[in-house]
Amino acid sequence: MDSWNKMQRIDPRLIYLLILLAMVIPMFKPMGLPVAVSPETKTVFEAIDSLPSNAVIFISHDTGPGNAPELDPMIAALARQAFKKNIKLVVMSLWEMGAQFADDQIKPIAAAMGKTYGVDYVNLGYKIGGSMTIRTMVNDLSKGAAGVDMDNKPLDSFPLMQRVKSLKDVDLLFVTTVGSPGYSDWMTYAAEPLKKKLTGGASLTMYSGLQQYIRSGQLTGYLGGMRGAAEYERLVGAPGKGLAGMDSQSLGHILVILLIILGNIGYFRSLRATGPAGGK
Amino acid sequence: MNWLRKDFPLVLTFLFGLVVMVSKFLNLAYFKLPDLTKTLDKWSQITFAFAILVGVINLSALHINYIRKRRAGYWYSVIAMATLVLYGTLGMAQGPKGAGALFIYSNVLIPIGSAIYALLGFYIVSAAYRSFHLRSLEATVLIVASVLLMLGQAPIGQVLWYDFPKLSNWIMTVPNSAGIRGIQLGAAIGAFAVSIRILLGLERSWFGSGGGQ
Repeated sequence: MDSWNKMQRIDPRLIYLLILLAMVIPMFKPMGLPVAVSPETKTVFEAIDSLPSNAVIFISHDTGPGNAPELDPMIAALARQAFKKNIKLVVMSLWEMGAQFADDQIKPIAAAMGKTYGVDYVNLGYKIGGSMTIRTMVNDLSKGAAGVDMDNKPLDSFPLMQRVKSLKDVDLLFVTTVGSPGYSDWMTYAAEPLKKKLTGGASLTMYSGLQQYIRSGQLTGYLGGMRGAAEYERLVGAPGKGLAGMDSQSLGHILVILLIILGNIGYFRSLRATGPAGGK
Repeated sequence: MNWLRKDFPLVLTFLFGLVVMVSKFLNLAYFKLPDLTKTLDKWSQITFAFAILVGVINLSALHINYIRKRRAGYWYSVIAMATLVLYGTLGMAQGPKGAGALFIYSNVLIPIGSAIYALLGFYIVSAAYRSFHLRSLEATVLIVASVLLMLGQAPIGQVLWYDFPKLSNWIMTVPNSAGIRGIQLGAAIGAFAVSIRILLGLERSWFGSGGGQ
């Protein structure tokens, strides 16, 4: 058995170790590689930038812990851009952990920028019901949110909610998405019927599936995975976890490509040694 | 009773489906008819909330049965039930932002959720090394497209060749969009056909009566 054949039977734990190193090393020793901004990210940035002061962005952070590292930086960058322009945020999630993730991102930024809860932003928390909740919120936001925010405080007690009575009163929808419920529910039941702009960010695995909606204009741009978050952070001028993760992603992708090349060399060498049947 | 279990759900499905379809395709205000869909949406939301309770009862019954019968690996059921009782009690006693519930949420739930998802990455890389081989024309197209996309998505690709992101973007927006559109059109037509079958009672597997006609 030659060394290439041995390589074909490499211990998977070695591959796990290599990928771990490729992910971790850049976190301690950043390479600072340049990040070009895609047209889709630029569209997202401009859609928010074109909103007037006091406009309202409705955020649904529809994610779980697995995709939070990709999508949380988008929420942080959005909060910075919005608060800088005195734009108000109403936040919720159709996924049980998303609202807390959004809160963890927005609260410190709001405190640092002197923004007040209830006046500049409100977090409605996790709302069960998927598309039915969206349909209810189209006509009555309070009913869809069961009348309370994530801390069980009545929505009527917040000055911001006095003028945001339904989804008709918001200026832009920003939805992060990793599955269902997600962007398609918001597009079908809120953005299209109300003729509201819908933008946001998706995990990279979802991103390829929503390209056609970006082309058709039903989605106003969209941020794709951690790369999209990094590009958005660059445009907002607030480097965060998205940009920090880009070097790890670069090394990880290069490692995968190298492994694919090595795997194929081994595969063809074993084919030559054993004939076509041996490769099956 | 047989009628209540088998035919009544079908009648309800047909009636509620009809209400939603009529409200979508007819201008109810013109005919001075009430739009019942808003009421149905609220009912659905409440039903969703009750479904969680049903889920908890179902999960508990299943795991308590495993524990009573001492089935292989019943310790996992003990852990599942203990976690359910502990987190549920803390959550209800202190609220979702109480110190105890928040501690478990931040230090157990989130790290476990993230770790499970992150494990996928390790398995995918290992699988790519072992099975991503140029066996056929289709496999070659798949591998070449994926390598170009990986280079386009990571900043290192741009360092190697400035136009990698553009090429990657073209793959995403042109061939990928065309393929996805075809799949989604097919899926939408299929979903429409299944919806009609459900409304007409031809498809009954959804309420556990076994298969359709």
